[in-house]
Amino acid sequence: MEFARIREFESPLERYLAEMIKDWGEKYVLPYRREFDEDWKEHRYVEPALEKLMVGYGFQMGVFPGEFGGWGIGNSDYFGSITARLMEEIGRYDTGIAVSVGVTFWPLFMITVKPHINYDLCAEFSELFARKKLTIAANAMTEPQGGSDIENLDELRGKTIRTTAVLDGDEWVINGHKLWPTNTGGMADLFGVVCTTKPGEADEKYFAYIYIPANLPGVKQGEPYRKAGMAADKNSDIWFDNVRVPKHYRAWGEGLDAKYFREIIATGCLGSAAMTLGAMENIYEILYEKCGELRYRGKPLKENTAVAAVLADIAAEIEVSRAAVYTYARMLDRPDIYGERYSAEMVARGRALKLKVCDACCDVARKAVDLLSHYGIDRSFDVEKHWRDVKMVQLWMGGRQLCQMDVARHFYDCKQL
Amino acid sequence: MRTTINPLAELKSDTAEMITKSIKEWAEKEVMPYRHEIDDNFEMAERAMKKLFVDIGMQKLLVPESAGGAGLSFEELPPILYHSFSEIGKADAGIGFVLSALVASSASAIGSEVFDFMVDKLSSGFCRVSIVPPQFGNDDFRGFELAKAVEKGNKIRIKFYGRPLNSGFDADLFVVFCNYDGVSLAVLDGEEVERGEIVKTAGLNASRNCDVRIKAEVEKSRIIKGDAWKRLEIYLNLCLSSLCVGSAVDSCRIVGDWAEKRFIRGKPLKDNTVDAEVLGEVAKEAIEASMAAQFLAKSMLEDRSDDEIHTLSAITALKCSGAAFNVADRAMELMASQGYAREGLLEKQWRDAKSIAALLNQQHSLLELSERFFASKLWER
Ligand SMILES: Cc1cc2nc3c(=O)[nH]c(=O)nc-3n(C[C@H](O)[C@H](O)[C@H](O)COP(=O)(O)OP(=O)(O)OC[C@H]3O[C@@H](n4cnc5c(N)ncnc54)[C@H](O)[C@@H]3O)c2cc1C
Repeated sequence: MEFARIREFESPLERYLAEMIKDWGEKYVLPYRREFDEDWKEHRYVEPALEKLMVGYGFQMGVFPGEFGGWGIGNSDYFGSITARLMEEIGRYDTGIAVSVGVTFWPLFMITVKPHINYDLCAEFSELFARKKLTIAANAMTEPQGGSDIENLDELRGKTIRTTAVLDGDEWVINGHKLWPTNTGGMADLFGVVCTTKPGEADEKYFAYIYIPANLPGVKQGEPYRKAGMAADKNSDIWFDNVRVPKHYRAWGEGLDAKYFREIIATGCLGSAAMTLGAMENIYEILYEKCGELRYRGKPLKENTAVAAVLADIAAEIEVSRAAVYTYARMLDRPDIYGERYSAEMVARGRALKLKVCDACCDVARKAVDLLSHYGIDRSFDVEKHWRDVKMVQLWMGGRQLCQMDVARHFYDCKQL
Repeated sequence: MRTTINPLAELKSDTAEMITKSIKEWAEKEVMPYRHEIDDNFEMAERAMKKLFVDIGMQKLLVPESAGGAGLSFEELPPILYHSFSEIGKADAGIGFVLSALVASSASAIGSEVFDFMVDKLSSGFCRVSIVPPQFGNDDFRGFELAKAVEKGNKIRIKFYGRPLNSGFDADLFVVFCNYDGVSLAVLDGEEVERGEIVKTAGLNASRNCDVRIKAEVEKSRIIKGDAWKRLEIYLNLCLSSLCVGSAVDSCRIVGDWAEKRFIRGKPLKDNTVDAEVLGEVAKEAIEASMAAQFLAKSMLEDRSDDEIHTLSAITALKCSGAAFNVADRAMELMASQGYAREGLLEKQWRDAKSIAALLNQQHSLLELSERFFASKLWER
């Protein structure tokens, strides 16, 4: 069953990538998925699956422009749709792997997506990702005192960022402590780091986005944290202690870093919504099978009207969520029609999408667990895994409340939020 | 922070206070220091369970004093269960879940021939009782399938394959819903039950469960006929409701501490109206749950029919398990990563509360309520 979307907007590359992901997911994820929870620290099952996708199928180079050996997702006219499809299809198998792949692309979007392609940095970093070896990036925003305020750019304009970047000749010297970024705990090879050049100031010109290779002196990643779910994503502390990087590792410069960072927010919202959409679709597939097999009141579970009504609500949520995800994705495809992806409007639309689709997904997963009762909480039915995993998608990037504030600010022209 | 209310006067008793005090000490010593590890380390949970069940004596609440138990009567039991399970719920809902099944099963057996058999087990060391409820499958009993019970001479042959509610892997006794004389409970020795592999579950890790195969022949005296199954459900619902109250109160405590210390937009989280509203909802849910559970416990002391109490207990369990989950779920919203992290302790309450809510099978319970209050004809064939 394919849920709603306008198929005219499906690009050939997108379809091809989706087929590859299906092939990969069936062979390298599904047979091992039930081991992922215990594998949270070692990644004995997760890493080979991720490596297969990134290196074996070549996704690692996906965002780099063609001239650097990439697939040019960043400068394609289907940037949004392809991003959404990747996250949807990987999310069907595991949202933890989806976020790991998505976050490898995420910091690179600052420099690989037209119109802001930084050719010098693309040339340099594409070499790192072209290696036939799993190469992973992380987007380090959150700090011990809080993540939401850092993402609350429209109100706080970088005021609470404590990781500092000081220019010393031709080098930035970075000091700070980040926590929670996806792909940490020893995984990341390259960080995109949100810094301030003037701590305590609420001015976007001091907001700096700087790339830091993980192997530099002074960079330290902690041990991964144990979490309720999302075992395929490792998260830890990262410390930057007088780390020196060349001056040109700052993505764009004063004012522009904050401007394009908003596109990171917009694409993060799209990716989050799309991966939860994929999880919902997998939940639907599981329910389709199990509610046909389990019997209640003398007939298959799904043939009971009370159950059918819940199944219908679940299908309706997925139907509407998919339509919404691809509508927004298509809007990101066409900045010429809908405005720049980093505009306040597109960020607010992204926040609205994330808010709605993540809520829908948590609700769908919760209902699915309830429907299956003791099988719902049984890990071999896979529904509860999605239920645990997707909760975090709702919470990250500032959670529901920051989404609500960004949406209200834009749609109601609020001035004091 | 006040997310609890003073208990109803009728529910206060010296014994309840004494037991609650011991449970508090047990929680502080045996659970809280290890709570973030307990789900990965069953031995820790088992050690804590042994202390609670045997040393504090929670498995012997109903065992006569002559056999070394507390010998509580039905008149004393509801307040004690409300207070003690609320306290356990603040520490580890999984442990409380295992104990709930034991207490409910012993309550269902009081007055029957099988009680002595149970007392022997309950007073001879650490004991777990597994309840085997009706399952998805044929429509034997209100839409579900019961274990088959067939008379064979003086004995009854019980046949079943499926999933117990709790502790299938570890239980020393099984209390099985079977189709003997309508619906009855068959009490089986753990040795009469063949067990499969442990199933991994979302939460309630102190209860190691598995599918079980039963092919046993038992004396007729091991069958509890009549409304015993209803009594089992009433006590199970009371224990689980109270457990969920404790869980909700603990989640409130955790998020309350966080909302005080965490700063957002230059002020404590709790001073931002959007977050304060979530905190308000969380407090409301926890207090509503505690009111409902106390009302149930109090009603059980009154002269009401088993039927009415049974219905009330089902409503209360739905309310309280839903509340415990909602509280943890919304609290997690405010705690973000910290709420999702194992070390934040909230996520355990979140997984455990959800598991209890799912096991209570809300949809089926609502149909039963419709049948009772609106005479919906749902089970006629
Ligand atoms: C699996 C996982 C992956 C992650 N990946 C990344 C990553 O790749 N990069 C990264 O930098 N971080 C990442 N994080 C961290 C995550 O993005 C943050 O947890 C999140 O942004 C919230 O920050 P916080 O946890 O510090 O909570 P806080 O910032 O302290 O926020 C707490 C709560 O405050 C409320 N709130 C937020 N904004 C407002 C507001 N404006 N007004 C009122 N209330 C508000 C919300 O309820 C929020 O949940 C990840 C976390 C996890 C668990």
